[in-house]
Amino acid sequence: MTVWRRARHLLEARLAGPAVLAVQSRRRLAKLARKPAAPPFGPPLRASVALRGLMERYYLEGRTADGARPVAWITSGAPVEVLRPLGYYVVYPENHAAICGARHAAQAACEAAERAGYSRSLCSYARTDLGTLFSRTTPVGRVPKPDLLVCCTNICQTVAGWYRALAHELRVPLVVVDTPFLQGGERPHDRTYVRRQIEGLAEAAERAARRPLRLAALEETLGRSQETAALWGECLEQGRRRPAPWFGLESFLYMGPMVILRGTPEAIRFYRALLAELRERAERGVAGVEGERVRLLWDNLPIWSELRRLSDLLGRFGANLVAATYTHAWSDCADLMQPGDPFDALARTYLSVLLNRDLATRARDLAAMARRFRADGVLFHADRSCKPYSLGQHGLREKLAREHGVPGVVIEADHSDPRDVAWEATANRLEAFLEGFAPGSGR
Amino acid sequence: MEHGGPSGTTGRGSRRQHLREQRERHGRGAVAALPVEHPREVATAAGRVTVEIWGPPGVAPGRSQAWLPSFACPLARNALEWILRGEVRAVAELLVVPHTCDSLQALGSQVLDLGAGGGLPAVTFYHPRTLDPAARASFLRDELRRYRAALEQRLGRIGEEALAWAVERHREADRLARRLLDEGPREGLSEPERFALLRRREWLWVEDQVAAFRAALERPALPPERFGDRVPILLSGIVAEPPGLLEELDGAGLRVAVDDTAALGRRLPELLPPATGEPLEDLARRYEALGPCSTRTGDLDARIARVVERARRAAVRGALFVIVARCEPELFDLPALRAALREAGVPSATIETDLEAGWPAAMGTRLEAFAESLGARGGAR
Repeated sequence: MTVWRRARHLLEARLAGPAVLAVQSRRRLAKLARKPAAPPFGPPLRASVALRGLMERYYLEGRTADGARPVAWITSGAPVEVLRPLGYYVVYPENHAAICGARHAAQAACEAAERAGYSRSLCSYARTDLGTLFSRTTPVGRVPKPDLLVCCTNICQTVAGWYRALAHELRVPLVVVDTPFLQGGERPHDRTYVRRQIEGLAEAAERAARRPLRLAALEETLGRSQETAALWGECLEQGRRRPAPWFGLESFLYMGPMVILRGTPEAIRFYRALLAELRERAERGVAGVEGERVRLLWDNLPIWSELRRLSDLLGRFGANLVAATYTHAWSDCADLMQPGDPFDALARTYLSVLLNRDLATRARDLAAMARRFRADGVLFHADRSCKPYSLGQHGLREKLAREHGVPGVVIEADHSDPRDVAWEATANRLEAFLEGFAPGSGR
Repeated sequence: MEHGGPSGTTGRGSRRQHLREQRERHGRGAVAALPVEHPREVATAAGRVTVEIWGPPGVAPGRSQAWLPSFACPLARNALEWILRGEVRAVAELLVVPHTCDSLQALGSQVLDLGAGGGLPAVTFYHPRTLDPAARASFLRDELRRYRAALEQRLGRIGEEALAWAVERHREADRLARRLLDEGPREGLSEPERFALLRRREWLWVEDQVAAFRAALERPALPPERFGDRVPILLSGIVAEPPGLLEELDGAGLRVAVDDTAALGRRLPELLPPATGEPLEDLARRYEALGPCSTRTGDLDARIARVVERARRAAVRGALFVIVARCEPELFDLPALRAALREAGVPSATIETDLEAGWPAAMGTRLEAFAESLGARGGAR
């Protein structure tokens, strides 16, 4: 790591960059104050400006990070708390791929990966990530090269294949934190196994960073993650209000800091502000969707390329997504991140994430969520790119309807690759489902 | 317990007939297992025949459509269809679901949690995927103990002696199958017949496997000059399906010199570690001796090195990857494997199967073109 690179990183990412972004944020806030609401949606959240600034600063830091500080590429569900005290800049390829999807850059990236031999039936996040690597084109400017790859299998086995391919392409050490699927619950040897691997991750991260990991710093980071998760959970709980004070599709965007900045003071500050704003809106009776008539849950990742059209469609029916299993998954861990034995807390937390649990647990959680949020129905996104989330949804839908009287509809699409989203067919199916709740309101 | 010798059905009869005979003549029930690797020795020790469900190919989607989205892999889709039709329950008292991939994980959970199996009991087996050898070894042994306990709960007590016997017999079957695979063509046994015999490991009682492989090995090995002008290739992918694939390869003038399929070659240890006398420890060591496989993850570079080394050793002139459609574990490894083979001077091609009933014409055209590019002389059909 050269002195020049460190100096440049300090200047761009810590001094000049944030100063410019702060000016931009002030301008955006002023513009937002003048912006009228766009019915049927409620007024935009002030936190949207902070969110944008936070994400821009994160990606700005990344542009000059390699060579200046250790860099790790890591799956969204990996124990990042081990890396933060060692000064890592952490890249989340899934988040980067989601941004590519939302900014309509995913298709070109996927095609670049396909030209390199990666099948179109592979996860579109993986293809987007590999494609941006091959094409060196990304809407975030530049993604720094990693010193370490960290893959945790608690979200899918796809990431194991994806990160093996990355390790091969980049010639970078890979640590796999393998989390046995909790079919029927956790067994005693599961946690021992995961804990041992997280300890191994700490050793590998220390080697790559050439610094020792201080236990006190790890505990502090874990505490911050816990606080972030708890605050995020509180934000999501606001969806229980009737009407819900924000539009649920937005929560997919607002979970960004929970994913990429958990364990940092910035994330805590952001969610405190968001929570305060949501509470204030709730007190004033501000609705995410004016005249809220239908309250829905969402199961699975969003369709990043179709957020706008999906919002418009739901808005036409006065329908709000008051909760989503995907966004709530990031708050569930708050109770598990208990201080005392950080490695055990991390093992317990990362072993128990939503997608690492069996369908019986998911069915129970979904039913409980429908009750707590007084949901009228569930939108199941059968996501071509996420098999562990999607295979089983038909059975969940059936069970929820039969045992709890909550109807659901399954729509097939893809979280990132627009070629696998047949919008007309999706819209047609959604409209027919929503007509059942609010007859005649869609046209 | 009476372990019994060969039952006489050494692979000539059908799967269904074999299972019936096992039940009627020897009182042995069956355990069904989804692909790929699972500790079949434990079910054998419990006195059960293991029958693996590789699809099966050609099952028309019906009831499974109400359970799975259209993009589910055909192996999971066909297996679930088979389960929903009651075909598995008709022959097996238990379903073993190894954690091969996300699709089979979801299938297992649907059977266990959502009633897709119609009450068919199921037991899972998790493959450790960490690259940390110590954590991997420790978890594997714990998981094998748990798996044995889970089977005991369903099938009755499994004694040490029975387990030791089962492990030893499967080691013998492993050794013989590896020889039969590696030593190449045998006198009086066509290549499709040799591979079909090897795949009968998926459903034969272990003693019948041993007897069938021994009988095949008693046939003289065919000297290379009698291989004909068939071009040696490496066959990789999950499984050599759809049915008729090996006949088509034969007809196109290709000969499988290296089998790297997950269903066969990758499940046979090249070198079995010495027995320790501790059956579960032997099971763990056998597992650790297996070659790298996308379905058990491990290190991609180790897999590439092994495939290239075996291709070089057998002097293959090409490599054919038979990909089960939408099989993520295999598809992730494919570009790097093909690039490494290309660098080693081995051209490769892929064909994708939806586990159809028959041999699709488009696949045939692709195969013929590949064979022609390797200079194979087809038309031997």
